[in-house]
Amino acid sequence: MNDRLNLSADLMRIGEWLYKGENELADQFLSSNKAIARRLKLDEWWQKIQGREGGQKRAAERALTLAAILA
Amino acid sequence: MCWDQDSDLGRLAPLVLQTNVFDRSTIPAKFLCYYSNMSAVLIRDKITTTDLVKAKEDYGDYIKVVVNVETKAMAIGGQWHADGEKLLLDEGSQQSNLWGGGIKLTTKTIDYTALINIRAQVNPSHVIMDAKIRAVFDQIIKDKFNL
Repeated sequence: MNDRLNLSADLMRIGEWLYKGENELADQFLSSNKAIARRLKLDEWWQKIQGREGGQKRAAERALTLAAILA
Repeated sequence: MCWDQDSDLGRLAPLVLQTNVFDRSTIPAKFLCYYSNMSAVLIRDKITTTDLVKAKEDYGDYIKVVVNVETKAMAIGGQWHADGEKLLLDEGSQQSNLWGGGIKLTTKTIDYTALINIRAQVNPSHVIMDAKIRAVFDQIIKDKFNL
């Protein structure tokens, strides 16, 4: 449960950074949370966000959506 | 994978699909996915079971919501908030009255997070910052979902 909530909080920030184009911070947090995401079976989401599938803004919205789902 | 919204192909896709010149079956899936709003539903009155089933297609029990805080029209579902936003703009809503968020059906919790909420000066965050707008947004969702 804590993992989900912590990941949700981090995803909110990641979404914001992706939207603003602060890729270094976003990627740093995406990497550091990758293991937790895998444990929660969110590999597919993670891959799409990290790979910026659909572009930067879509990746940002995807991160915010996942944050809301996990909250 | 969808085309980037800002790319030439991203801008071209809606035009091509609207012309009806092309047989849609010959258009690559990633081109068509630009039109991802098939599961977004426009709600004028109460939500029906059919609306709900369609709106749950993308994220299950989490549903994206876009609300016109003036007319109380609402769009639910869709992969992106922009899908619902487009439905409301097409039916005459003013963009300044549209706000996005979501509802988790299992817990009945409402959130106020959407990229479409970001407006220079008025609302520089993805979260609806104005408490009055949040209250209206909340009430409209509760009314439509019978919460």
